[in-house]
Amino acid sequence: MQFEPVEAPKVFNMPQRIGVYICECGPNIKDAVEMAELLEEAEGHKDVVLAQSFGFLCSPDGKEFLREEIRSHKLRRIVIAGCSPKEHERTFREILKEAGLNPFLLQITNIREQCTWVIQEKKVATEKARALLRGSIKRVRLHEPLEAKTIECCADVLVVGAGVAGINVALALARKNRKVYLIEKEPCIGGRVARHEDLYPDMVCASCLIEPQLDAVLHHDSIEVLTLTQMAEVKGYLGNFVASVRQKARFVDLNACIGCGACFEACPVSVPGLFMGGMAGRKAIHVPYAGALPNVALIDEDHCLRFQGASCRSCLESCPFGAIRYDETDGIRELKVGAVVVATGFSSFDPGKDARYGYGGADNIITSLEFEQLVNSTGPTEGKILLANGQPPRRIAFVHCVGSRTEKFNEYCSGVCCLYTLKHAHQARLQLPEAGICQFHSDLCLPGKESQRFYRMVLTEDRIRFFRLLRPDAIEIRKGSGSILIAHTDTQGELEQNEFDMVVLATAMESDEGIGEIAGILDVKLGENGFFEEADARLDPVSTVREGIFTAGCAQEPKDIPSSVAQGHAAAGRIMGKLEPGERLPLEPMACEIDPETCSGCLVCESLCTFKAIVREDCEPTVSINQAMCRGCGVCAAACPSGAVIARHFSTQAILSELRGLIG
Amino acid sequence: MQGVEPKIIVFLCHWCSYEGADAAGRGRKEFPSGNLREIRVMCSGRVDPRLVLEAFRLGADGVLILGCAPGDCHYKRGNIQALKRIPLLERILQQNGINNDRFKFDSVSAGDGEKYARIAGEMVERLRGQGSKNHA
Repeated sequence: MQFEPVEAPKVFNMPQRIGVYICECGPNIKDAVEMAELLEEAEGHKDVVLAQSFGFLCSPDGKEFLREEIRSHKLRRIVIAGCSPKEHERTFREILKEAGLNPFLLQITNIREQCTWVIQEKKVATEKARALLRGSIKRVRLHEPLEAKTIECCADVLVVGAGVAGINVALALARKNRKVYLIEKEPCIGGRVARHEDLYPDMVCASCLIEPQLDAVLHHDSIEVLTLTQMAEVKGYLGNFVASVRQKARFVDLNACIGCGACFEACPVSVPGLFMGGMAGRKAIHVPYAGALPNVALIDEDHCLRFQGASCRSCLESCPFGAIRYDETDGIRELKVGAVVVATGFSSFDPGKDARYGYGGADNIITSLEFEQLVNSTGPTEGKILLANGQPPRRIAFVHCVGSRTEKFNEYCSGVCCLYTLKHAHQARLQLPEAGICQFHSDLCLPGKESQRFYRMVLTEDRIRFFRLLRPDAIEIRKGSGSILIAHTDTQGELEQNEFDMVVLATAMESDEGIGEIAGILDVKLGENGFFEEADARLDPVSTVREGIFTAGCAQEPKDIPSSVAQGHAAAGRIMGKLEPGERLPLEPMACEIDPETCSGCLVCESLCTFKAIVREDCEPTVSINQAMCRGCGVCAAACPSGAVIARHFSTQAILSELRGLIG
Repeated sequence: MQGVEPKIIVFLCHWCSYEGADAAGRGRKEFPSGNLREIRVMCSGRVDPRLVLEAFRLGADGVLILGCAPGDCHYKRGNIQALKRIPLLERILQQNGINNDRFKFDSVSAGDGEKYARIAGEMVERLRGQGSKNHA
């Protein structure tokens, strides 16, 4: 809503000068009521200086007529009886504004949708229209001019998580001159996508796709990337957040290190990898993986001898760039931002939670994310699909819906696993032309315009055998002698057993394991499935309930890469629509306020406010309502035992007056 | 009780139920709209129980509060906050001799003119059978 701020006039001391206008709406109203009776009703009220009917008030002629009437009769308040306020309240508020009146000094009486259109009998319609008109006239006398207040705001943005979603938020915003702080808890950016080899459905190279974006992010003047950094506290509201972030020490100077690796060779400490019996070991000083960006080493405190009390200086001595910083400490930074985007990604369901999957009990039962590492050319096997003993597998099983579509764990379908499992089978076939490759699934979820084609290609070219399960979890996987046994129940209820060397579990995408803490810091509730709840799941899926806090990617729900990117762009778009560098932020004119004289400080209202707009500052005896956060719903006004809440435009007095008119 | 037409105050939230009532109009639904006196609030959660008591005191024969469907509230949980107050309000009304037929809290979605017409029509029908409320 945009209109000039006004000085609040002394409403009750001034003559009210109410003008009442009844729109005939062609025959819609004119023929359905006794117009003369309505005009007579209106004229009979105190302060009504004139009442008139007009053909179509929403027409250009009607609007001009209204403007002229307001000016020439020096009207102070207007009642328009006609169609629903949902139809033209905005139109007529604009007319008031143009005629020099505050737009809130208008009341619309709905005598069309809620009267003449549903009442056949003219007498009954007239009687109701009179009552509605009485309510409006009594109410409008209590209307107060409301100001469109504005506050200063900051258009900079904090993006939490530098995966594909967060990166695309950052790039979209930075292109429009917004300063972006992109924080990432890991030492490198790019998230999971940067660790993928090929992407379905066209098997494009993931790193070829994302690396130019990572480069752009790292070299953009408007984007400040903070790795090893997590959110600690966020205070404030849309346009005015102060976020504290905690950055862990890297012990290597980001600006000096070029990732040459001289220190890795010098480092005496070898750390075995976590993957498949110690594959992909590294040194205590390392980069997370070959090709990780920024290409800067870090020291792992848990293994470095110096942090265990020894006096080793191997890396320091070997570094040609003088980049080692043993004395670096963790730091806290305060960032002033206008909005926060949570793009923290997902966690994978732990199949160890269900014994049926045999995970952890035998070698070569791995999750699909681990398989993704296996086929990755920068991974532990340099892209070769190998068993823990270093041999290629002869029989691979891919198991769908692990931890998904079951009330026991996650009721939802992650929506991406069927496609990536087909991709994995295809990758396996390319490497292992003679291997037996099987898929165990109960249904297939293949949405999108390319997916069926991809499925057909895998089905016809890759010689994959599909076993259909009775239920998603109608399967038992256990260690056999020298192999892995899979027993499954088919759709006919028949039990069947098969042997494999390698089993890949397509685990459910769950909300990120750190999401609870983040939600707590942001004071935003998570939904039942553990993901962030949307302000509106359909119409505003990137906003959370707390204004100014947005989500992108899998923080909202499981998503594939294009959807995560799209949501990142959408979040950037929502922010650009709300915050403009150098502009002030308009506030809700109907925001509620507290009368400190009446407030007892009981705090009943505080817990009711969805938007956390009500606070009692330390040492203050009463609460106050943050005008930037209040949306004007009035829930607090209804609950306040002292009547201390001033619900603008819907004050108790205004509602009571309308009631009296309606019933009187 | 012949000829006594009940008057019902209907509190409608701006976002859903008011739109639902408009939808009944756009659909030219047949229901006893002449008995209804609609009043718009931003959220059903704005309806202070005292407003309901005042409506009865002023002579309303029935009161309806209609909000958004659970989960659809424009203010996320305003309708739920409203709902929480209802059991107590109903008890207070009963203690004052106003039976449950005369008060109802429900939801109407923005496009659901049909439901609006039905809920409002049902209350009018019930109260026509009971006649006007005795305020004594």
